[in-house]
Amino acid sequence: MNVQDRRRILGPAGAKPLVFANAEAKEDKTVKEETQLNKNLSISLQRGIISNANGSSIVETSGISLLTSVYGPRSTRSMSFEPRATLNIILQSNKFDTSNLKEISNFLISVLQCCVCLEKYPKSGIDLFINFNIEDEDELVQYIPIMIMSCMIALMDADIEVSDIIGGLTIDHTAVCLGQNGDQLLGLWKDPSSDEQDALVLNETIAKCQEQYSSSRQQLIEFISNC
Amino acid sequence: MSLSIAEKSYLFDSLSSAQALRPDGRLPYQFRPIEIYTDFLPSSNGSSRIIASDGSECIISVKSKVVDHTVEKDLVQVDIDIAGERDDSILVESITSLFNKIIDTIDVSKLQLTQKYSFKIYIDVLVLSTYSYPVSLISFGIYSALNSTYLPKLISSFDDLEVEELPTFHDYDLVKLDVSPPLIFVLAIVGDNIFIDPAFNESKVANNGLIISWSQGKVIAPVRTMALNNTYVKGFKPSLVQEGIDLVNKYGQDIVNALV
Repeated sequence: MNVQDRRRILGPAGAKPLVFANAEAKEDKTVKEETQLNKNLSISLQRGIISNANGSSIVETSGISLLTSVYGPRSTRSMSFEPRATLNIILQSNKFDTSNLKEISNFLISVLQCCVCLEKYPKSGIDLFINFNIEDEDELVQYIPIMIMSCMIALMDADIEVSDIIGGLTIDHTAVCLGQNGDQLLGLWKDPSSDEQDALVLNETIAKCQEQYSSSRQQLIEFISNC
Repeated sequence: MSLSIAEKSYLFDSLSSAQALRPDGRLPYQFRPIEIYTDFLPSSNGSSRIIASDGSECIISVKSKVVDHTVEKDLVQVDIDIAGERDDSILVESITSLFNKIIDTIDVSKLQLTQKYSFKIYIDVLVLSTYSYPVSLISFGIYSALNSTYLPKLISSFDDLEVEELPTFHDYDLVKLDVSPPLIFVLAIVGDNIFIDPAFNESKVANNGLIISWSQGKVIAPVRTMALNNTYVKGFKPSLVQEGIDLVNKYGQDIVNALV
């Protein structure tokens, strides 16, 4: 294993890490699970797909398939001392334009900052790449719950510490991200839509999401504990 | 400028306590004083310069072009530049994307000239300096710039489908552009409290931020949360979203009245 200690001054540039002769070949940890979340929405979860990434996952529903890979925690080139890791998310899609994707990735960073223990990894950076393999849904807001789920699996696959298992749901063109058993709101995303009501009331949408949150969280926990 | 751990802890405690006290003594719905100058660029159809009390400054220019609206669907375009940030940085791109989404809520029929042609409005924003999340400042600037925009007066006929003709304009007369531009409010959530228009030091200790759009007397989409710093970010009580929306609904009109 190639692990650098980022808390100390690094060795010379050409230094090679110690490799023990009887280092075991990494076993293939690809696990697959298919479950029925709602009656109409089945989700397929897989992890440990990309061998040269620290962690990876594929989450698939009928119209969406996302491949997420995590690289890190790896050392940053920053000259100043950073007491916390910096989180970076890059979305790659053929369907949506870049500025839209960057806005979503900014949002995802805000949400994941709430649960990833960034203070455990000083002087490091964690990069997440989300590739859109199947993108049949037209609204980006529909992808948010799947993105959160695939990021969580990939982060745990990379053995990065998280303080909570968070989840997202999309109801009425509104994506809601919840944590702490649904008691805490971590993120909310609502885009303008054609069927706009007179006054915007989000209380009911959030309450609906809180009801459904536990089942999606349970599914994620079952998948992780089976691995 | 960065704050020490002790300063941050003091700010967080005073903002999150039951009787919250903001560092500059403002009320939860109160804005910092802003200065706005309009119509200062002679070569633009409309312009504004907005300066916040902390020295954040932003200039906005509105330019127009006649386009065939059957071909060109996007009649308002916002372009944002922030000094010291790359054009493809996540901050600039996400703010540009947010503004292009909210500007689509403008009634484009006001830009129509004839059955075939419309004005296309280009809004160019240059943020000269900024100390907190600049979205609110930019949206107030765009609001003032659009409200001071005058476009050439059409003198040819409206019906140009039968007889093909290009629109012609009056040599001197201008018509005031009458759109009601939407506004964006930034709110900071600290503990169980919520504040409009967080200053630099308040943003540094905010648990989360809320971006709320407002147009013609009511809150509209897009609404979203946004981390205002990267150390204090965490979840918050879900009921605070509605509290923030109610706050903007209640005071939005007063703020707009103060802008014009």
